[in-house]
Amino acid sequence: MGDIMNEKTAEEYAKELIEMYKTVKPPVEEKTIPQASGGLTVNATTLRKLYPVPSATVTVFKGDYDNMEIIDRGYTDDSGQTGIFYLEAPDRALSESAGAQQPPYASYNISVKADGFIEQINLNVPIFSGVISVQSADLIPISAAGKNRAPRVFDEGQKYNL
Amino acid sequence: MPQAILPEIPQSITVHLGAPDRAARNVTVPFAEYVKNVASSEIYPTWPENALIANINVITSFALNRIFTEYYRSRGYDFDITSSTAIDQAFVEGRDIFENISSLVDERFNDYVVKGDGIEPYFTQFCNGTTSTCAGFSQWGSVDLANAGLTPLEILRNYYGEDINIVYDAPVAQEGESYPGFPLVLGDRGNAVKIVQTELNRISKNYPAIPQIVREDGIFGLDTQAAVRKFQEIFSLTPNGEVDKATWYKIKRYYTGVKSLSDLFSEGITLEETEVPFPQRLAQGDTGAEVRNLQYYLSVMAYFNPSLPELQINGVFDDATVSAVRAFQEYYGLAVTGVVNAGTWGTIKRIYIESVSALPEGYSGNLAKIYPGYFLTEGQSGQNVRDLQTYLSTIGRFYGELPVLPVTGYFGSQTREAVERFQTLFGIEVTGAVGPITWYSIAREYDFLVTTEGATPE
Repeated sequence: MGDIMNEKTAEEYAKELIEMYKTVKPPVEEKTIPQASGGLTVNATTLRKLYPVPSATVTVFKGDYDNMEIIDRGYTDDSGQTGIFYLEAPDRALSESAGAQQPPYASYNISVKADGFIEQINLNVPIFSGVISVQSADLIPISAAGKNRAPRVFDEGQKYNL
Repeated sequence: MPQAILPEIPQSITVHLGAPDRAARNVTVPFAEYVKNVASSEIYPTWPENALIANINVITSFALNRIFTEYYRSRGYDFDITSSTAIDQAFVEGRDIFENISSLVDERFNDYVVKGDGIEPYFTQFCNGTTSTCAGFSQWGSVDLANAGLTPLEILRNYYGEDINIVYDAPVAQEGESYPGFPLVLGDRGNAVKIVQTELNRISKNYPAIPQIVREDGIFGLDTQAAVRKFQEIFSLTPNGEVDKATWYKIKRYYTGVKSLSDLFSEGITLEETEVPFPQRLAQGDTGAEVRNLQYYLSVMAYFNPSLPELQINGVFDDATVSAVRAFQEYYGLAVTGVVNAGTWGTIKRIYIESVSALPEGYSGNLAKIYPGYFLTEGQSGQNVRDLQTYLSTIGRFYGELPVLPVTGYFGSQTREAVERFQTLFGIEVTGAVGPITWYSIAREYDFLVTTEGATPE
């Protein structure tokens, strides 16, 4: 009986190790951001942010969902968080004074997908040079979604009134 | 008009997602979260810090003024403010928040602008200063002033007059204790430390990366510091291991949220026990136990589905209840009438049971799951029976008078006897079946043993 229990434990341990490596997160200590880029980090939660959603797949992309150009991809850890994605953004000077001829930020789309939950998509997420954006995704469990299985979409494509 | 009591910062604010008379949804968000969203939508995060701070003070005061003057509510609307940039301030539901702006708001969400002798939050009118100019604050103008070396207060006075002041650290409306007024650090002792320890330990059940504090003894030791630091890392605060104002209120917010959900489930259990048959139709103006039951189910569903509005369980089918029923009907494909007939009632119960029983493994942490929504009786089998047997056997190992129950997933005579024994010991009507009251008592005992006595299910 004792031997069988030990075998199971080794199997479970191996599974845990594999899971751990899947959710490796780059160190967050230094917040210096590479030139001409902004940072993005995503928090996946559920039940109005009371519980984290680990092992969610986070995809940063451009273009249509059905024909996406994948820029980067990562996974959430036990606290529901990804590491920092570094994304190209326009020169910071564009946002520091009025009258810029083009948007002083870059726009990206984000998909957050996890087993047992409805996918969430955020469109036109603004990324500013030298600034970390924090995107929250409070996911709806599939069991609570009734027939609404399609992804939940938020479009952040408002123009700044500046 | 508020009396001479210092205004409190509200826990949340209800935003209408459009012009006041346009048909649009309302969303209710925690107040600090609202300010972060507006600040991220109105201004650029790359601006100099003093300009960001001045703008945050403006945004906060503007919203507080709308709330305290009851500007919209007194005109019959069911919201506090709109997201219309023409008359209020930009709010984009579900948007990203800039980390630097988030930190600045955490430090000053309970600071606001006052003018002259007034204690009320000032109506801090503003415009962008380029395509629109006004008598009030200029957003781009604040950037120039900040670059010229002015402090946030000086910037505000430049636009609103010299008799402008800032109220710092206004009281925050919430359950529980206010920030003690000074940061709690390694070596401190006292009740405030004990409160933090208890709250962090509860939060760590949901966020297991936060290490448990072994003894909630009111002494700020190294393990308390480690827990604080991890909390700060997860919730985007400066991870310095000290409990400053921002950290104190964020811990409180999460703890209160977690506790509200537990309280909600407990309340629901009590309501379930008064299982009144559904009266065929519930509509605006109705009152009583059936309305409370309805409100309970809708409140729980609002947690599972954050696109549904939250509501108070007050036993009165009021406007908020009508909105909640309509939102439920719309989301789940029913006719949107705001009236609960048998079809709507049946769907509500069904979705509730599906949501609650399919809550993913580990989503109650170590704590017992909530009542599955139907009586467990001899002859049944399944996961809910397994859970019941797990809780009873854990309790059995602690109390000699209770049999230790094998966890088989089948509710046989052994399980029935264990239930009867539990009911006898805990002063519940002995039926051998597990309804909401029995489930709640078992769950509460199990939670207590796990969190306080260190029991484990296996």
